[in-house]
Amino acid sequence: MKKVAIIVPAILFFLIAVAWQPSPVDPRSALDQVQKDYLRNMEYLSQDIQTYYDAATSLTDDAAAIATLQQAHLKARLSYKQIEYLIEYFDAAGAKQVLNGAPLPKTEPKVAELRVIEPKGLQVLDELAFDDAPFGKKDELIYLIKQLQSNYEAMRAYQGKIKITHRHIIEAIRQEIIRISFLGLTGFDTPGSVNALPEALIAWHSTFRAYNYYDPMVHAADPKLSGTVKQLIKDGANYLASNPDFDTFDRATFIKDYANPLYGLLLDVHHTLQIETAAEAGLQPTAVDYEGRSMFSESLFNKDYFSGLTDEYAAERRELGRTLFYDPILSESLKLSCGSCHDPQRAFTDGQRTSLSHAGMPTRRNAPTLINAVYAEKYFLDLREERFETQMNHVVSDHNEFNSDFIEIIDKLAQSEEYMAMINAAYPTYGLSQHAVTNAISHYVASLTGMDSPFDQYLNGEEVAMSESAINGFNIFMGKGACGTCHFAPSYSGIVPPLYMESESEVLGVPATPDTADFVLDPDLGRQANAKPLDEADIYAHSFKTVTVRNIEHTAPYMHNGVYATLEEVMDFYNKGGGIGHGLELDNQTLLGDPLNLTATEIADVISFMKELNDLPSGLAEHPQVELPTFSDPALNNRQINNY
Amino acid sequence: MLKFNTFLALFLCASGLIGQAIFAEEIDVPKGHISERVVMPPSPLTLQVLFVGGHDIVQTTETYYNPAGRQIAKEWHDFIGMTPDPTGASLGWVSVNHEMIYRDDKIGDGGGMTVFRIDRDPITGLLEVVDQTLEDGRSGQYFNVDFANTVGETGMNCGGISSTFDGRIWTAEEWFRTSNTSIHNSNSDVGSPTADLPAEPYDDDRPGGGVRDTADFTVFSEDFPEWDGMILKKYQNFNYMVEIDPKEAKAIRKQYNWGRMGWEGGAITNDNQNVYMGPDATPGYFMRFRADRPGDFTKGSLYAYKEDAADKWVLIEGTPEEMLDVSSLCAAAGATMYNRPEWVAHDKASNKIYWTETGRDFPGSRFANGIAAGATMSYAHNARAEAQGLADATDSNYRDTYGRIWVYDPATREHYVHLEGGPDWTEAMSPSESEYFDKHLTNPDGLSVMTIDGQSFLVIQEDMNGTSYGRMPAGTSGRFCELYILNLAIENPTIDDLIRITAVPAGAEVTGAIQTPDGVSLLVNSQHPIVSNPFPWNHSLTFAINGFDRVTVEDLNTDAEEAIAVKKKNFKDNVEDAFTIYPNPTTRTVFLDKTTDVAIYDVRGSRVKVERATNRVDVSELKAGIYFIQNTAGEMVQLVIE
Repeated sequence: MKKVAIIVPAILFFLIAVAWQPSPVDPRSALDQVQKDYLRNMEYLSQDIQTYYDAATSLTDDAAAIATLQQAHLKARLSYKQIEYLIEYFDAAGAKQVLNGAPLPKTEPKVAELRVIEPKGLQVLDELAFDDAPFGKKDELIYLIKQLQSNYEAMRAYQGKIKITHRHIIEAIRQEIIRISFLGLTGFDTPGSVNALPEALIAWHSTFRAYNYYDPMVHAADPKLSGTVKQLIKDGANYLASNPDFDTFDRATFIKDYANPLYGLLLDVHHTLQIETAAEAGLQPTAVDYEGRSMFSESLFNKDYFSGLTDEYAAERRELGRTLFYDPILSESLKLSCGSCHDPQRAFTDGQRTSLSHAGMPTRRNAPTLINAVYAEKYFLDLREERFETQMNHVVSDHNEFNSDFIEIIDKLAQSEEYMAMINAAYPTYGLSQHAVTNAISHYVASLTGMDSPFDQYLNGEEVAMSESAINGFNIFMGKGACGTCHFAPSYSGIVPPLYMESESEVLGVPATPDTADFVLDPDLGRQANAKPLDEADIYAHSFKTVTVRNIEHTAPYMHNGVYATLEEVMDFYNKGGGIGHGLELDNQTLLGDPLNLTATEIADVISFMKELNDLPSGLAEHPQVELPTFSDPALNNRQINNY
Repeated sequence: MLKFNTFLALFLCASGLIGQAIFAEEIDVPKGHISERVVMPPSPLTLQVLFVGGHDIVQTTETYYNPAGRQIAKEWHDFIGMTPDPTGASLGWVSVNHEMIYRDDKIGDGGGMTVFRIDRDPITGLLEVVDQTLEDGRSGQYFNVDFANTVGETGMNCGGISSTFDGRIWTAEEWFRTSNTSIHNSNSDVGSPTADLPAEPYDDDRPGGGVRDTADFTVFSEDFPEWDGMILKKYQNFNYMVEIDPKEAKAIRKQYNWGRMGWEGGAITNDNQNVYMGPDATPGYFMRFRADRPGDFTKGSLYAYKEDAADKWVLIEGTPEEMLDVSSLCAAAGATMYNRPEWVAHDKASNKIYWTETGRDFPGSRFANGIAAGATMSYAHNARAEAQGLADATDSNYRDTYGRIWVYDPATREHYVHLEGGPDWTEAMSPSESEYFDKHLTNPDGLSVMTIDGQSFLVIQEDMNGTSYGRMPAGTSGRFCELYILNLAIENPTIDDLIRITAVPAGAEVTGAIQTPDGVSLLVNSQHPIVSNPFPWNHSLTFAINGFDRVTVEDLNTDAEEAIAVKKKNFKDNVEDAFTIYPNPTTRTVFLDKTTDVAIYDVRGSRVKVERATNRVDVSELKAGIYFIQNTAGEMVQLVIE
């Protein structure tokens, strides 16, 4: 957070002025207009990058030259925001890779080599151009802008040839509503300039300009829908324009009153216009369920995408899974079940700093909640497993946990007529197999979800009492506190909007003990030691999965090693700038190290907000009623459900 | 709803152009006369799942103090080897690679292979996995190939060699390893996985996720006197081509004399004397081993291709220690650099060698390192870089997004690009609007040759490096890899000549494709699909596409213009311009007479599919039944899918 730059360029007034001109009632014309705008705006960005390049090459240590550079940077970014909704919709991976990806190094995917790719594009430039002394970074600026130009022009050659269809446009608009709300407004991609609000306004205008071309058609079919949408677009724009301060912008109101309603209404627009869906165009299901109406609801997500579960025999499978989940038969010692460390009465955690092994010894890590755990690209705190269903394989083979393998488990289960009956009923095709065990448990764990907390209800405009403190807390979480730049809404975990296909991990510099005077790094290497060859890079040392803060009131203690017993301690850690802010020397830390400077009240507000995120699946607070099936071997019948 | 449909229909008629029509979600099913009714017969090709990783059970040998027994098979299926049964008692033996480096107490740490024997049921025509009892006493269907107790653990088993001469099988240990830590896969004993890990013998409790035995490895091999008795760091016993015995499920020898490299694929020519190979790296080199005597690959010489050398091949020789890093020897010899050479295939009919250069988004810095070490740049890359406005391919902004396929003729030593991946979106290379996205090729990896109707076809398998820059259709982000075949009779082919045979589940790489000796089936691996696919397609698995004996070259025709023209001629004069379609049951494609938007409605009049600005529709996912296809002009054709 260097300095706040306010830029309201002339182009903005131009947009407001022309936004409401009527368009002919013709789908072809609407599409042509969008395409025409897109091509023209892409050309503007080309010119702006050239201007930016020129400003960098003529940069001196002079204040005027620095201002010229920064203005050129902001102009290029604003031009990018005009095309963001389409360019990122059409090519999310490319935009992230070369245009506006996070300023963090990554490992190159899909090559037989561990190679760290340095970040490139507008976000890195945002930090450089607004560095305390940009002149000192002149060579780097020139290199990066030239690189941006080369990549952007290649991208433009491709984007200009895309056959745009109606479906693309409406889908891109809806996706941009998520992007503005959950990324842009949090300051995610403006780490140096903090120009998030003016950027959001430009993005809003440009995106809904595309809607306006379609509005006459919507109006002809459903005048009321058209009227509501147009009013919300206009009011949202006014709200953004009249509240340009990053720290005080009321995100809750903006999202609740404008962004989220529009997200739902644009779905109506899609169907009212009888435009085909992605499925009809032959595309695969995505993490976002397009038919969802709210950004604060589980219906935003497509659970099947994450879990791979089908509806076939779902009830039988879930019941089998529930039984297996609480049955220590899966462990060699007959002492541990899944429920031992994932206790429903503690929101499926265990209250321990780190979970206990079958011998009662502390293991390496804190047990994360299973509620909403399905919504991830990768599993475990070190991101070592990519498939929801095979998560439990690690628990089965771990010598401290179940210390077994599936051959042993299958041989054991075959000795129980009760289990065999359940398995044959649930898996008539394959019968008893590793798949039956892991899939059944997946069915049960995937059922442990919920995103209808009081704060979700509040943002959905439902009648629910919400304290000013919690609302302030949301605004800090999503703004000045920068919590939402990693704990992305609405899962408040590390799955990245607007596609929610990627799980992030962060190097926070979490200490071994809560002692702030003697701040020592926890030795756990996290992601770097997860046994995946592509994660062995040093950038992943001490990196851990960004977990959800939903239900956090019930999941103490906190962090991967359970070092903090209270949310106050957690907030204090972040408020002081994380590990780096505590003077920890460790490469690749994610946090900037600057204190957040949140007041005691603000911290209390964030905590109140987080405590409004509870939504425990119904009945879970009770002790689960599970009858353990009997076995022919009497030794196996002495086992007991664990003492959670 | 009716009123609104009428409103939309106005635009339908008025628009006339493609890419913009709106089709009503529901229509009244046409009654009475409809200008055309087209029947698409069932495909002659059918799918059959053969071997599911993480599900099927393999028979193991005594390993790491565990007795011989059973274990769930490893996953990450990559290469498939096919060894014909000379006795005729069965079709032969199938060998499947597991491209991973994970610990397993019973199979052995690292990667591995599974072998099984197949035969064809004479009544159903389906393949069946045959029960076997091996010399070492193991009985069952699927067998783990024993590496740990023979030649030492293996890892990252990607491609390999399935000899077209006699079905001998080698597995390739890809991904060049540089330390014991990198095979042990992350441990906390040394503080950092990139720090050096001490050599220690196997211990069940060592924390690594990969190879736990890091003790020095002593080569014991009568085949290679120069290497016999040599003491290697454990990691130095990885990255070889390794011959296995698919009938007895055990490894025979690591091919120390071919040198240590990140080997990926290879092929043997008709003389049974020359092996052509690709190592997956940037820079990577096109390699050849020439045996002194046919069939004995333990003695001979190693060469690297050098485009600017008079006789094209430069000898690569060194002491056993120097052969532990063949890439450095290649660079020093000035060999020609490529961007991830992967699989190598051999066409028995022409004796030509084809190989995939998978490509990599920004290879420039790696090429620059190669130049500094003495290597030379391929003409193809420098030409591409120039076309991108750059000085040469060492520029960090040089892009090689799509990759390509090369052909080499041993008779002439000529070597050139056979098929360029793409489209690359530059003016000259952009596809015709109607052909994209159907016509594209992204990062070819697996490669083999199959015979259909007496004609050789290249079998090309994608493994996408990414989804950016049009490698996936606009607006989609998941990976979707496809398998194409390409008629080798076509001279100077382009991506327009590719015929799509199958696509694997979302997120998976399609690989390993190889034809059964009877020509009926193509065995294919689907590797690392994402979880959202239904079981068993959420696992790496081996499946068969059966029925190629019933496919003719004509059946695979992707150019329907002629067929449609003939069909139109047969119409009466007044309907000659009518909307005409032509089905191809083999590729499950419906060709259209012109580029248009189309909507497909089911028998109840509900819209089920919309394709825009296209001259073909893939209907493979539509269930059998009656459908109506409507074009931009509102014309409708009935399609019966059988």
